[in-house]
Amino acid sequence: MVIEQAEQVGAQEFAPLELRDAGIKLQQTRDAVEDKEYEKAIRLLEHTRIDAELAQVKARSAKSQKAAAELRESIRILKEELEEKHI
Amino acid sequence: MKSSIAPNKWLLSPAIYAILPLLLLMISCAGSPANNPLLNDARESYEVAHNEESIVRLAPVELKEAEGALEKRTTLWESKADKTEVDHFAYLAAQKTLIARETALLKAAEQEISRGETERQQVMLDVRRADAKRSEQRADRALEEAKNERITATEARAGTETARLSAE
Repeated sequence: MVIEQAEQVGAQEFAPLELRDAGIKLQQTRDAVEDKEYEKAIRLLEHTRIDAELAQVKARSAKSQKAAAELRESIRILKEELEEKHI
Repeated sequence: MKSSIAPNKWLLSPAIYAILPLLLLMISCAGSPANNPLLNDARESYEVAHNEESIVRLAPVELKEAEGALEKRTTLWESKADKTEVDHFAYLAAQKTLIARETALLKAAEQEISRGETERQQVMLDVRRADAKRSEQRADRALEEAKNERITATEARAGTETARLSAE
């Protein structure tokens, strides 16, 4: 399930709002099925899927941006170290 | 009682008369597809994303999907389809646009990481080279010092020897 996939890549930490939206839509989908409103259920399921997809890509993007920033920082420190060695 | 007074006050305030024509204008314009606020939001965020070079370059597939949902929404609107259906595709278009935006950020970060890894390796190599050069210089200096000491010692010994010989 897309929500689980989003959770696996850290959406709880990095995209909590989008993940919550997906959870709400999923519940609404279940309610619609229970009420036998199938067309509505299909629409809501599509919303659930797209919200979870957004949560997933947002989490992956946030994590990669964090990793890129950490890498930048480690390069900066190494360069500083190199500067000092040349003095 | 208080709550029934408040709306009256509000109705009497000049502000409501100032914005009333604007409200009426907004309502009257809502009839044409180009001016429906919900549709405009989706269209506008798509247009903004479509004009960002990095999104076009890094998330073309996602952007195309957003465009597809937007077109579907417009077609439905024009054929006077059910509002729920129109709103549904407007929502999908808006979310897909956000997905395109995040995908571009993700790809840019991934590219930066891969470039950064190469750079980090290079800098680490430079650090190691600098370390090696330093120890080499230190060894040379030590050797030089040792040589100098040996010369001094030899000279000293020679001096003592000369002194002893001249004393004899």
